[in-house]
Amino acid sequence: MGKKKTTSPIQKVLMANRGEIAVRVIKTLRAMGIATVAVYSDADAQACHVRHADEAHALGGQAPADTYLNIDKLLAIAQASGCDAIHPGYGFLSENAAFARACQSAGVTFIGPTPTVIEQMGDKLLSKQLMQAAGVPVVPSWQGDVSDLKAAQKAVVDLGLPVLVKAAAGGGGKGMRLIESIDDLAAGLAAASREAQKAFGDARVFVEKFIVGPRHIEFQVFGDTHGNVVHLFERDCSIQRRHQKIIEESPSPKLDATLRQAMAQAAVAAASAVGYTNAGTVEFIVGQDGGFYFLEMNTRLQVEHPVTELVTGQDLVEWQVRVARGEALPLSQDAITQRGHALECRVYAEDPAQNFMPSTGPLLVYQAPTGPNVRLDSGVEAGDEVTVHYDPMLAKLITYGATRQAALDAMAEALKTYPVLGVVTNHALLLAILRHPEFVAGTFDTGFLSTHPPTDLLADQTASDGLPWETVLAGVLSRQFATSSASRIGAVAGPASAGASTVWQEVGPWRNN
Amino acid sequence: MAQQLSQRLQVTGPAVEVAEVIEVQWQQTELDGNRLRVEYGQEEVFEVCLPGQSAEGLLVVDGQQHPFWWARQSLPHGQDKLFLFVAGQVRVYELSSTGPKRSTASGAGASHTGQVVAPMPGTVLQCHCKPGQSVNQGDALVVMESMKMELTLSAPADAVVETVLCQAGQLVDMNAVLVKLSPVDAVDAVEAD
Repeated sequence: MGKKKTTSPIQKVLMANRGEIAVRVIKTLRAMGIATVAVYSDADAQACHVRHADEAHALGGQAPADTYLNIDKLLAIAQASGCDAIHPGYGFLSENAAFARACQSAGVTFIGPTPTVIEQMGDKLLSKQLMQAAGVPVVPSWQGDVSDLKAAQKAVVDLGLPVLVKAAAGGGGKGMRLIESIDDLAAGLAAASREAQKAFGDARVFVEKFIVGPRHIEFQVFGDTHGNVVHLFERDCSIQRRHQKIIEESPSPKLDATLRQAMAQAAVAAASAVGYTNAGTVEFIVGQDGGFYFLEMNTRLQVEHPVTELVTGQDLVEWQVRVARGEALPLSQDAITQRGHALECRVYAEDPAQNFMPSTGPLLVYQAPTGPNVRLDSGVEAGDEVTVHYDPMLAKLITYGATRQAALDAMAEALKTYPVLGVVTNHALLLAILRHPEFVAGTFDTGFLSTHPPTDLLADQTASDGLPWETVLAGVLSRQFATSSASRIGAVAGPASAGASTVWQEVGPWRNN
Repeated sequence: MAQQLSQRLQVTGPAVEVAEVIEVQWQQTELDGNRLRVEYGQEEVFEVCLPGQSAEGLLVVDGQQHPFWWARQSLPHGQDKLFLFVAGQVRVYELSSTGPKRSTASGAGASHTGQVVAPMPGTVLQCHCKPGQSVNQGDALVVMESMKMELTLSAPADAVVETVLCQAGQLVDMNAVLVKLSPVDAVDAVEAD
């Protein structure tokens, strides 16, 4: 642990985000003795992240542009509340160079890389050119004018189907479309462009060759202001739906020591080439032959950073703050080790059996699983309401084990003791993936959920004969409830079913009132 | 003291394609303040333990203990919902208090051929159809967005647009009818091909 001189003290931080990442960052800041300020939109006035901070201020409004994307409001609150730094989390303004620059001008430390680097790496077209120049392998792509459909069609034919349409300013699966037939190109370009405009305020898209049977493997990197750059090993994020990750792990079952070393070197070279500071992630796509290509660099803390924290024993948010203060990186490369295995499942309020349709409602029951190797980074608590306004991710469930199988077993057990009632969640799908032979063997690729559609995975485990005891139990519970709905924990107050109460009253002891 | 009880349930999800109404019948005997013995079907039996005010219970089948969590949601104008969580599986039931509820093959939330409904609450982004317009099965009629995800709603069959009940920018509830369709003559459909 280097004890370097602090050049930029950080005593109070504004968390310019919401949900689980705001809660998670606030926890480390508080543990470091740093005061925290939360901000919230109208819909988030009662949100979980607001309750966890030392102070909370209304942004006023609901649309992202009026709230978590509003640079002027965020900076005004930061200055009025005496914050000396801002943590952007992920999403929203985390990869917005104008925001980082505005923080700089306002004399508030932006906890992240420099505006120039965000600009360079945030532009997915420019970043690929920079990486190519630095000798990092990239996926073939076409970056022409997509409004010229003829030219786009020709480019797609040249690249070879399938291709991916991606947002130039994008990330996180927003504004992205897989095109498998040339007939779908025009619609795909239009939809991706609209989504990109909505999500990033930038409608530009480009077309990239789609590597068949790929793994998505990324490397966590960190740089400081003293010229040091290290990596903290890889995360395998190959289990995805609609190009959005749902299960991540470290180490990757795909990598042997040689490939891991080669990719780590490329990741460090990529970060060094742009003079990278703070936390970043270099994403690679790895083909079936072990060939790897630079996909993009995310200039922020990644959603799935906890798996890295568990295998390296480091707190990445603490690293971010220390680097932002001007300290040297806490560890040198040879002191960073990858021990055991960590797995992360993203728990979403959505129905995997209905094309991942988002589900909204009150969280009638919400109980975190416990155990020595279990961590839950949650953005909600019991009693909270899941609304249409934001991403349906409720929480990230992370488990650790000495081996991959141990982490996997711990995850299955944790999911079974993590009740979420009031909305539909993807628990059952996660469990089905965890016990699938391909996942257990570690031989899956990013097409796993296309090859094995959720309806198939879920059908395998629901097949049973006779009247399931769950249904009888539901009947028993419905009668148990008849006279006690309003007083019961986990219930939303409302009229009890009058017809049933006479029957139940005879059973005396079951009445709660 | 054994009691014969029954309850009508509609299993609604998740992962339920056909929302079926089930009449569940069982006989229950109180064992002590917190435990019930439940007998049903072909001499099948389980014990259920429900401690006081907790949302958590324990079910014992064949000597195997299964912890579960449950909650009931009383809806103002609809039928109550019962949520049950066992071994990582959530089950959702609608409770029918009187009479059997009509069971449809399409299931809750699905659109039948005469209309296009919002499968989720969200915002209408675009409406691609006008009254009187002929549409083919699979034609995109409405584009919606919910939780930052875009969803295209297509014509369930060849049809003529009767009424358009939504416009771009409008916030709609789940199951809201967005477009009403009337069937085209079979002859017309063939000729249109």
